[in-house]
Amino acid sequence: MFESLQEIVENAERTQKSLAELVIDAEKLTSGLPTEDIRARMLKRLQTMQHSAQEGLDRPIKSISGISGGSAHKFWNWLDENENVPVTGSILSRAIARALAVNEVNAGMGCIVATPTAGSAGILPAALITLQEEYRFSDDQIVDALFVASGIGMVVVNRANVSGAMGGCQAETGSAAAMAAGASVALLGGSPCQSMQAVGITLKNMLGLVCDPVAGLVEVPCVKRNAAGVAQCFVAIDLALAGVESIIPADEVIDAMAHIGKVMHKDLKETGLGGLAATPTGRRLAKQVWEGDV
Amino acid sequence: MREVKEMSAFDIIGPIMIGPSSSHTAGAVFLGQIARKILGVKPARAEINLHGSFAKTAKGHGTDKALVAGLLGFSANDERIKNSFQIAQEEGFNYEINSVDMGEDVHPNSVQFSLWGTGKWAKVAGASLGGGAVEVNTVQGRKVKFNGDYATLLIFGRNQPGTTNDVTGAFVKNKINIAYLRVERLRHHKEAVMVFETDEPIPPRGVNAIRALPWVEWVCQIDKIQR
Repeated sequence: MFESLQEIVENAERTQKSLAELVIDAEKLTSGLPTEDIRARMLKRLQTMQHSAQEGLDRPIKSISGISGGSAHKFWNWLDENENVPVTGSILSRAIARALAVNEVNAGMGCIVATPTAGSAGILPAALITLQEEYRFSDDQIVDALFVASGIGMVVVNRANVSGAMGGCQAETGSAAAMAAGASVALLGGSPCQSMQAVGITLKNMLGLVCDPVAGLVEVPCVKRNAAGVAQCFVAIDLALAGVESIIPADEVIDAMAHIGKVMHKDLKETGLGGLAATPTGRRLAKQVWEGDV
Repeated sequence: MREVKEMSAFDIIGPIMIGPSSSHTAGAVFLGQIARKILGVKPARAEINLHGSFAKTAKGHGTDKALVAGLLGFSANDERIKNSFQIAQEEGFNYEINSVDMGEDVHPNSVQFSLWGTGKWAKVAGASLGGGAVEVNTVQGRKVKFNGDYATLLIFGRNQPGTTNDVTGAFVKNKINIAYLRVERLRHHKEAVMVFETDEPIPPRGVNAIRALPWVEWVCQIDKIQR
């Protein structure tokens, strides 16, 4: 079932089941576990996400390498001051703060949920927790959305990959943002087809993004790419809910991502050799980290 | 034809882990856990050799702390991983971490452990393949291959007819379902190396029965990785 998003949509329309129900049905088959256990397992993940997002807002978190940190806390405090009006608006600005927060907790050796990877772990929690806060969704509804996200992620893994080393940043933050967009549309009452439009639109807008981390570490530019990822996700949510469609179907966008990942130069696939990692500042920071001089 | 993998929703939303990297941190914890299981007791001393990317980016990714945490028996989502060096010191566990070049064909995220505990030693090498997936390549100098996603039983012994039968008999007796089985013969067919991956671990009684078989020289049961 997880070979194609189109197939999942058709399945949902035929059976009149929600996307979450279809993913949970499949999980019951592969794991042999009852629905309650499967949902409880996902709830535990949601609680970890909520905890990590809050942790990164509450206090400035420095990465273990020492080269980054504290931006989520700084941004959150800035939002809190009345005279500051974020141009990203009330909802997106809070999601941006949470995306930064989770990724800073990750870089500081805190506990996170890989969604789908550690480097892209901020996007999905940021989107869902902020929507939960804004629209008062129950944890149960967010758990459903997480199953939708995982179903989308499984299709990405089957058709492409979610690894920076294989596909660049588009495969990590791009996949995470696409998962978050599809899940959010379902959460906000969109149809299965609209969810997949959101997946297609998000991923299209993130194609080609390279993985060029400074010193090979999950920090620069990963933390801010998570903030950008949740913004891309929100663009697609509104478009999809308004009925705007991705001209290139989501499955074909995923295939395009796989192709781009294949032809992407290896210096730009998590090797820390090209792009931002190869800038004078990137090299200087790498030298500092590797020689323990931070 | 595209290869379709059987996946769980929790492979995508998960693992719950201490950051920053599923390959360099969570995978490192899992490799440490497996090495400790192979030793079978709490390690008192360890030599840890890092190769490739593991050696180069260990500090920035906390790979060093994660490996020690795994040897201490911590899970990959244990908040104490960050402080594993200090905890090791408090528990009187001595370790040494060095960089080595294991060769060009060796996976860039590879580690070798030499461990000592009360009356026991273990040598284990493995690699972290990405996303928290790991692979163990050698145990006590013998080539093996397993990934810790199943309960794993390793058996080294004299190669003679009927050995596989002896062991599968023990599995049947304990009603254990075998997922994968690999048997190799080494040293001019004199030695047998068996790797059984099973859904459930065989109970200690069953392991002891296998250990008592006349041709068996070394047995070890490794629990499934808790993700």
